[in-house]
Amino acid sequence: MSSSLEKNMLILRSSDGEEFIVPEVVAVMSKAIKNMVEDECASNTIPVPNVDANILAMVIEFCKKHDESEAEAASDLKTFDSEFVNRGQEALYDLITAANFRDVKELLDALCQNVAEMIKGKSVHHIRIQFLGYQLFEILTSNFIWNIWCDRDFD
Amino acid sequence: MRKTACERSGELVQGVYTNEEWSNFGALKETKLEEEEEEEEEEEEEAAAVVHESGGGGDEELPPPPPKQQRNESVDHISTLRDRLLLHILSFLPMKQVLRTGSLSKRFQFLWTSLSTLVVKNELDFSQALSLEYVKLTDEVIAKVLSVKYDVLLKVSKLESMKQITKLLDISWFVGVQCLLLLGYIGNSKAIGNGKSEKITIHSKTTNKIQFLLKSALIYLILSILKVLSMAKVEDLPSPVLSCKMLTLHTHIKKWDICGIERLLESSPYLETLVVDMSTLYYPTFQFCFNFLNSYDLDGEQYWVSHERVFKCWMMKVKTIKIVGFREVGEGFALPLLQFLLKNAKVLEKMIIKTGNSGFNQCLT
Repeated sequence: MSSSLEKNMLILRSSDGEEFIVPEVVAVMSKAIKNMVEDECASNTIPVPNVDANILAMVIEFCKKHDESEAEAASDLKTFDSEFVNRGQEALYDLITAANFRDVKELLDALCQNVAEMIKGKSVHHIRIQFLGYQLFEILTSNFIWNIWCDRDFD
Repeated sequence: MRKTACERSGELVQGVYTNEEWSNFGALKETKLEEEEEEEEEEEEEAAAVVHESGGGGDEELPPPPPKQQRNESVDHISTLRDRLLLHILSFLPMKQVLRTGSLSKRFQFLWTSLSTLVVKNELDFSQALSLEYVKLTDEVIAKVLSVKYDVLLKVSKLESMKQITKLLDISWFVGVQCLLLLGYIGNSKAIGNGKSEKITIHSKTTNKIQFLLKSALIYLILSILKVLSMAKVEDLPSPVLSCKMLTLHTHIKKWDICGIERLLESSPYLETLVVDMSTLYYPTFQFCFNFLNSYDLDGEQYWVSHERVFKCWMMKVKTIKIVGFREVGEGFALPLLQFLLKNAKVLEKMIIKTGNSGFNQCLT
């Protein structure tokens, strides 16, 4: 850890203005930031639009852990990953969007895998209720079928 | 008004769910109830505003679908993701489940077709079957059907009217039922057929009564996907364009698979790697409608030759073909397919054929 502290530090600024001081090795786990650093178009402060402080903190936590534990046993990392992604749906999707936007592949994979696990083995209307926010009574009324066929846009 | 709907739905579900599921749903329902109570006040205000539109007589009717924002507020976060990310999620799921997402909503209906890797397998599990026999499809029955577990086969006997059948098709599409077995004698039926991710309706040539195979009992429906595609192909029904680059087929290449294979190939213009796995032992038997078999005759060798012309512009990108467990099963449809592939894959770089136990035979073209 001490070695990484000596290296360059970068400041990441979230969309709501909060700043995080992060070692460069950690920050460049995001390909998007890596490109910026490599192209030397980044000053010390890198704005991270679209990602708020909460989410950014989580992403940094993830990256730090992965950076530190490169030498550690892979199983430890796995447990960390599974605990890390175990969140409420809202945070989960925000994280996915952030991971995608910043291009952090490990995080994106871990998150998507988690969502897939949540979907796996569920019935169609189970998924509809849990993920698409349908109401139970809505599904159980027969005019719902008609709704689905015809005009309701579910996006 | 809303509460009664919920209570009613609760009663309906209770009989069908396993305990675990039920407890999940119970919890879900409670939270829903709470939410609704909170929202009710707002809604009353809204209702007061629109009362002149709806008129006073709505009390007996089911509640109107809630406005969009309200639903989004509750749990709908997944829709905020872009298609690319949803596809990434789907790529972690087994194919069976991926296909099931096709009936989730309009957005998901064709989303899976954009996956870059597809595996086509005959997966039919006849152990989970729900039989509906001699029933009238009242709303209550439908509600129960809707709450059954996912890969259920719906066996239905003695359906009399066309209306009932269409209704049932709608439902099964809706629930994501994989396979619909219409048993027995169906009078005056016109449409039988149910694809899961897309509604495939197959019109029989005779709109009169169809006699089904095996006395008056049995017949078919499907989702042993190749065969569904075969039927769709023969009947000239549309199927979605797939953007997969790698396609894996688990098939023995039997007579009624070849149309399906053709359909898959012709709807995958971006295909780069084709894997045919013939080594699977499990191969569910499947029977077509007798009339259907009689109306179309397929000849393995001739089939591909006669369709060659149409294929000129397809398979422009196929670079690798891999065939595992190659053997000639039954009527000999595998070799012609092989010849055809060799002849038409213009940029083919590698073809790997692996027979039973022996090693690799490679040939480069």
